[in-house]
Parts: sequence; C-alpha cells; structure tokens
Amino acid sequence: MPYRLTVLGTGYLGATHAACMAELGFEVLALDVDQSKIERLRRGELPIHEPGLEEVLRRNLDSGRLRFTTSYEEVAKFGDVHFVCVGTPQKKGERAADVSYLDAVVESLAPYLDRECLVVGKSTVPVGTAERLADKLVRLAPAGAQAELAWNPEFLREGFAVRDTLQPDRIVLGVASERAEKILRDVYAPLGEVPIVVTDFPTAELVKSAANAFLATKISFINAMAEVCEAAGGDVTQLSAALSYDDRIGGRYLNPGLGFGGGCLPKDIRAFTARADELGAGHALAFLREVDEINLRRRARMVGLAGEALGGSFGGRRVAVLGAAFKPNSDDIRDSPALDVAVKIAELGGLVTLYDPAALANARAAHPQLGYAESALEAASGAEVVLLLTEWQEFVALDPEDLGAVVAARVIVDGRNALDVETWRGAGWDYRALGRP
Amino acid sequence: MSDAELPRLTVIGTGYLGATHAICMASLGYDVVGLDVDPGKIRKLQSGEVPFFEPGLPELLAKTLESGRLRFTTSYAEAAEHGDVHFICVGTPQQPGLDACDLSYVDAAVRGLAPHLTRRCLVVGKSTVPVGTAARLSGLLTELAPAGAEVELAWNPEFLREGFAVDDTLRPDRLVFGVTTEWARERLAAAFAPILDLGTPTVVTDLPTAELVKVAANSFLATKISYINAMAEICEATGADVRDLAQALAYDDRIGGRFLQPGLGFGGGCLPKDIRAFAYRAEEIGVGQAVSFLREVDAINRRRRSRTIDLVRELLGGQLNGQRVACLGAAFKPNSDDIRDAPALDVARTMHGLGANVRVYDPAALDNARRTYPELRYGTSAMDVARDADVVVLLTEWAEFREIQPEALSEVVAHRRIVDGRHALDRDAWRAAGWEYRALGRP
Ligand SMILES: NC(=O)c1ccc[n+]([C@@H]2O[C@H](COP(=O)([O-])OP(=O)(O)OC[C@H]3O[C@@H](n4cnc5c(N)ncnc54)[C@H](O)[C@@H]3O)[C@@H](O)[C@H]2O)c1
Ligand SMILES: NC(=O)c1ccc[n+]([C@@H]2O[C@H](COP(=O)([O-])OP(=O)(O)OC[C@H]3O[C@@H](n4cnc5c(N)ncnc54)[C@H](O)[C@@H]3O)[C@@H](O)[C@H]2O)c1
Repeated sequence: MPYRLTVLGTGYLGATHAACMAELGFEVLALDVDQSKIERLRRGELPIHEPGLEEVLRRNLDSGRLRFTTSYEEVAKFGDVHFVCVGTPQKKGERAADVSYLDAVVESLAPYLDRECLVVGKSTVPVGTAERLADKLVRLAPAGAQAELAWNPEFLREGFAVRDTLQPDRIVLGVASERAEKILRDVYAPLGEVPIVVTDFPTAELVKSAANAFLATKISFINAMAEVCEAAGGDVTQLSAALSYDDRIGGRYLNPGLGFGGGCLPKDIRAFTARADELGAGHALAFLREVDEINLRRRARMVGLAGEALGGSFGGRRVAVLGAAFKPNSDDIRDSPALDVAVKIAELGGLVTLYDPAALANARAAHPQLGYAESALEAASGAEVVLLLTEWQEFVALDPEDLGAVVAARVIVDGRNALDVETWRGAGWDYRALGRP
Repeated sequence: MSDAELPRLTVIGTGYLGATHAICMASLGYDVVGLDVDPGKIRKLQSGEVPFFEPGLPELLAKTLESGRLRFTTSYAEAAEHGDVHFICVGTPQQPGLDACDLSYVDAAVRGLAPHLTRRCLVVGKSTVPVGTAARLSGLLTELAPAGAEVELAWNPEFLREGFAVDDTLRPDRLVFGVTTEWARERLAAAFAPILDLGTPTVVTDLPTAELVKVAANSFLATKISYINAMAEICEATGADVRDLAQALAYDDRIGGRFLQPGLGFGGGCLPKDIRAFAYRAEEIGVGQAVSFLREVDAINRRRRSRTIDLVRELLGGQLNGQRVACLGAAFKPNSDDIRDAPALDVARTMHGLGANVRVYDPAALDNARRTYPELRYGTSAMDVARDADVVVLLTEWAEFREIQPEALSEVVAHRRIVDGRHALDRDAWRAAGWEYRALGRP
C-alpha cells in the first residue's frame, strides 16, 4: 500500500508540495487553518501566482487524488506521512523567527495520532527546533514514539516551484531512524535519480539556513562591488561578467541591482544570526549583518539615483515605477525592494504610479496610498522619471521609442541592470543604473 | 601570424607570477626578456633553475631557454630597448603593520623603466593593486618617459593559481583588458594572440574595473571559504556535521562545491593581503562600509587556526606544554612551497610558543620554512615527525598525507590521536583503527 500523505499549511510551499505530490501519484490531503484559502483551493483556484501550478492543482483535484480540509482529526486519520509547511515569519520587532505556527501544528495534530506515522518538517527553522518538536510530538501523541519526526528542508524557488519540486537539485533528509529514512526515500522514489543527503536533525535544519545565507551573501557581494564601482568609476556589470567566467565563482546570483527581498532570504538570514547569538556563536555570522545592510543600502541608493535624475527633489514630481513583486514571475510582495523604494519616494513627495504584471492587487491592498496603473505605458504616461525595479520580461522587452512617446522626460533608472544601455541612450534616454557610470 | 609580427615582450619582476608569465609567453613563440632587481634570481633563471616550486615550469624553462626566445637581465635599459609590450609583475605585499598594500615596488618598476622608453610602447600592469593605481601610474609614465604620451598604460590582472600556474597562464578562464584606447586593446590582443585563438573569453573594460576584477575575485573566494568555515563554527555549537552540510549545499549550482571545503582556511601571498588591501582602499575612497564584511571574513579565517589548536589541546587533555606534536604540512596549500601567511606554520609556531615540542614535515616547503622559522624543528618524512608523537596534526592536504594508512602511522606514534585540519582523512577508517580523530566542524 503506498503511503497516504498530508500537507499542513497550504501557502506557497504547502500548496505546491500538495499538488506536486498528488501529481506523482500519491493520495494527498492538505490542511490549512484559513477556511477561505481551503475553499478557493477546493475550487481549483490558486491563492498565489505560480506558473504552471494551477494546472497541476486542477488535474489532481479532478482525479480525486488531492483533497483539502480544515480538520486535523481527518488529517490524522488519513495520513501515514504528514508534511508540515506552515510559515515561520520574522517576529515583530526582532530578528528571530516566529516558530509558533509549527508548535501550533504539532499541538493540533499530535493528540489525534494514534498509529505509526511520520511527521516531516519542511518549514525553514532555527537549528534545534526539530529536536524540540520531536520531544513534543512523542509527548502529545497517543501513539508515543510511533509518531516520529523527520526534517526535510525545502529549496523550491517561487516562480519555479513546480519544476523545483518535481526535479530538485537534491533532497536532504534529517532523520533519527532508518525507518524514517526508508519512508522518505520511498516517498521521493517517483522523482527518479536525485542526490539524497541523509543526515541528522541539526545538519538538515542548517542546510536550508546556510543555503539562503550563501545566496544572500553572493547577491550582497556583487552589490558591495557596485558600491565600490560607484566610488571608483568602475562598471559593475563588466566586473560581474569578468568574475562569472571563474567557475569557482559562477555567474548565478551575481547580477548587481536592487538586491534581494521576499518572504525567505531577508527573514532567514536574520533568524540565522539571531539563533547563532543564542548559541553563543554570533561572531560566526556577523558577516550576515553586513550582507543585510549592503542589501538595504541598495534601496536607499536607488531612491538617491532617482532623486538625482529629477534634479534633487521629488516634491510633486511624477515617478513611474515598473514592478512591485520582489522578483519577476511572482506576485509575492513580502519585503519587496521595489515596493520599498516606491513607498519611500511617495513619502518624499513623489507622485508614484506603479504597475506590475502580477502583484498589483497585493501591492494595492498593502499600500493604498500609491497610484496604480494597468500597464507599463499607462504608468509611464506623463512621468518625469521611470524606475525599473523588478525585472519582468515584459519590462526588459520595452521599446525605448514606445515608452519615449508617453513620458514627459526620457529619463530612466534601471534598478536591475536589465536594459541595454546603448539602445536606451541611443534612443535619447538619460539612462542611469546602480554601479555603473 | 608570422613570428616577425609578434610584439616583443618584457616581464618586469620574475617572482611566481613574472617567471611563469615570461616562460609561458616564450613557449608560445614570443621573444621575451625577463627582468628582476634580484641578481641571484636572474642568475638562477638564466641557468635554467626555477627559484620556486611549480609543477611543469622547470621543463618549460629549459625548453624556452634553449629556443633562444627567453633571456633574463637586470638592466632596465636592455628591457626598454627590447620590448613593445612590458608586463609589470612585481610584488604588492601588505605594508608591515598596516592593512594597506605596499606599492613601492610597482612605483620603482615604473620609475626604473620609464626613463628608458624612447618609442611608442605599451606598459601592462599585471600585479594586484588597489583601484586607482593604474590611473596614477599612467600619469607617472607619461611624465617620466622620453616618449611621453606615446607610452600607454593598460591593466591586465592575473588569475593564475600556484600549483596550476602553467596551465592557468596558457589556458586561462578569461582575459581582462583594462584599456583607455583602441590601440592598447590591439596591442594586448597581439600579445595574447595564441591564447585568444583558443576562444578564450575576453572582457575589455576601463582601468578601474580591470583593477577591481582581481581583488573582487579574491574577495569572493575568501568569502566563500570563510562562509563554509563560519558554518563549521555553527556546526560546532550545535553538533551538526559541516561535511554533510557542505555536500548538501554543493548540489545547488548557484552555490557550487568549489572553494566550499571546510577546514583550516586560507593563507598564501594573495588572498589575505588582497582582502585587507581592498578593505583599506575602500575606506580611502569613502566606501569602507561596502566591504567591511571582509573583516569578518578575515576574522573567521583566523579563528579556524586557534580552533585547530584548541582541538589539539583537547585531545591532549588540556595541556600543550612538553607534548610532542607532529605537524604534517607547512606550505599554505598542497603542490606549493609557498609559506607566505601559511595557516599550517602559524598553527605550528603558536603551539611551539605554548611549549609544545613541535616537529614539522612538508614535501616541498621545508627549506622555506626552515629559513623563515629556524626556531621550529623539522623532519624528513611524515613517519619521521610522527615518531613518538603524542598527537599528529594534518595542516596541509598534500596527497601523500591523504594516503597515509592509519595502521602504518599507528606503528610509530606514542598515542593514536589525530587532528585533521583539512578534512583530508576518512574519519571512520581512522576511528576504526583505534585513533582518536578530531576535525573542525564535525562531531
Ligand atoms: N515560499 C518559498 O519560496 C519557500 C521556499 C522554501 C521554504 N519556505 C519555507 O516554508 C515555510 C512556509 O513558507 P510559505 O512561503 O509557504 O508561507 P505562507 O505564509 O505562504 O504559508 C503558510 C501557510 O500556513 C498556514 N498556517 C498557519 N498556521 C497554521 C496551522 N496551525 N495549521 C495549518 N496551517 C497553518 C497559513 O494559513 C498559510 O496558508 C516557511 O518556513 C518558509 O521559510 C518557503
Ligand atoms: N603568486 C600568485 O599566485 C599570484 C597570482 C595572481 C596575481 N599575483 C600578483 O602578482 C604580483 C606578484 O606576485 P608574486 O607572487 O609573483 O610575487 P613575488 O614576490 O614572488 O615576485 C615579485 C618579484 O618582483 C621583483 N621586484 C621587486 N622590485 C622590483 C623592481 N623594482 N624591478 C623589477 N623587479 C622587482 C622581486 O625581486 C621578485 O622577484 C603581486 O601583485 C601578486 O598579488 C600573484
């Protein structure tokens, strides 16, 4: 009998995981405490923007392999393997991660667990969390030690979530027993040849924090080089090209620009430093504070460049902002650099009109004070400066003449080094970008 | 292209970089004159002896000397007379007591050469320098050279790695040409024609960007090494295993497994001094905050050395004083005799200072080590230094150390205790053979 799977928490990670595991042929029951989210998912509506996911969702709803519920009792009865995918956001006013949602899941689920089963954490957590939850699980579950915990961090990227789930780079299994290892190997067997690293709880938890710490560091590294280029008269895009030929460095995550945001990188590196402090090893991760600061300074520099382009002041000036999502192919605006810049300029008196292909509704809900438009050209019409802040393909493909026809002044600040300088300057634009002359 | 069309080259400064560059360019068919102010070095090179350890280079030196395309001199007049393109390869060490880079050798090379430059030629900096140096030297050249503005400066940073210097020079990942005119670009292209013919990617850019590429590359590599070593520190605090961690990270090709080996950290004549000089220069131009993470990178790197000593001390029950410690490795990395800022020797000297009876063995760097640190004791082989040792410490991951069998070493030591500073040994095999095995960042 193949395992029956459940997924607890149906946000970005959980909805993707549930749909993809059903796609692999498993029977999946997914739970969320948010009733309206569950109702939408049951109707085949994705509460998030994720290319390709809605098709997978609908296909598996139709086949009956994928179902949704809000009942922990039902989930406990149904599942052999329970994947925990709830959020672990940054605590308000602190750097540390809020793991209370995880505790809530274990407290809700465990009392119904009366037979052998595996509870698998996928959320990103501070190292040490798994061990604590494992104890709690055994204590609260009627099945006792028959209800076992494992940790299986998730590396999917929004925008590529389906592909990353079905064709991951690697699978990391933090397990305390061979039984747990075997169950998880069976569950992921339909993925075919994927490297699997089997390790202990703390190492598994750390892999995820460490991976995000590295990616954030790499992005801030090239942005630090942009800061130096700005002071030394160098060109960071050429610098980045020259570095990327060295395959010990590699060109990925080496694009200078407005830096990182979203629901993962910023909160994860902060939570990681907070946890290191608790462990008395804060000095080891002090560099991550620099990484965070470099990243935040890029936003300030972007505002500065926009201000310079306008001759010093935003008061009453029309500013077109292209992009609100924290990255292209996503509607996620959590800690979005683009929105951060837009909001700051509005605070300084700029008349901001913003457009984003997917994140408009989210942006409007979070920042009703900004102006919004239904297209890039509409946002740019009458603008004295255009800011490209999220590198959606439709912005990269913009024609300088089309845009030039609607703006009040041909001035553009490219926050993502996404446009071709020669083309835009050739079309009479005053083109500026981070880290280049 | 016939030989007659090839520009004639000179190489000023014939250390690691310069000797390699001169020999490799001659092997590609260029007429090359190498110049150094150290007559001893020049004599050695003339007689076919490479003054440092570099696999493949002695053979290539013999061949190129014989071909007649390579000569050495101490005369700037001769070099100036010969060269159409002059490569500056002198050292840029850390200033004593300061993080800043010592540019006096580069300045001296320009001052030595410029007064003899009476015709149009290109001077190409290859040394690693703080951003802004090229612009300054360019002014100096024009001012001092009789040919004035006919003499142009370009920057062409070097990325070779010691131990792979020949291959890296003949088949580089990329060439970076920092130039101010099309003429300079053409001259550089002529000076690297056979390498460009291989399809080597070239980035043509301005002087400051070219200077920055080199320090940025080294800063990135240092950061990556210290990053995984910071993870080792976290593993030590949580009982996790940094080897598993590194393996899991390496599957992500945005990260990649290269330079992701946890251990005793970096050293040598480049990484440490380059990141310090970079941080110093960034302060000078008002953007110190941009690279202040490099100070953390440096600090993490240094802490690995003291942590290694802590592991040795723990194995010895808390005391180094009077204990016999066998150190395997002195060079800053395997396949090199370079001991500049070598982590291995730093650890050995500190333990010696704490009263341990330290003996060191290294396959290539013993002479250099002995000359620089006569206070340490040295042996003739791994087995020799391990004899009657209370603890063995592996500090440089030479292949011959990796291949040591625990049973063979068991025969000679007083106690089967080993600290693997480079994750070079199979932990389980050593423990199975009765050894107390400790490594950085692993249980
Ligand atoms: N989004 C990503 O790209 C990504 C990638 C890898 C890892 N992660 C990690 O996965 C975790 C989830 O992230 P996300 O982006 O999906 O968050 P999210 O906020 O989109 O989703 C969390 C979901 O959990 C639900 N939830 C909260 N408390 C619950 C409870 N007690 N029981 C059941 N459901 C509950 C919420 O209603 C919400 O739907 C985080 O730890 C995150 O760091 C996210
Ligand atoms: N060694 C490497 O792996 C490597 C790699 C890339 C870049 N670099 C850079 O290349 C430069 C040279 O490094 P190295 O390792 O070859 O140093 P080195 O100390 O081995 O060689 C420097 C040589 O320059 C000579 N010299 C000093 N003053 C001189 C003068 N006025 N005229 C002529 N010769 C003079 C010295 O006698 C010595 O032989 C440094 O900037 C270094 O950072 C080195």
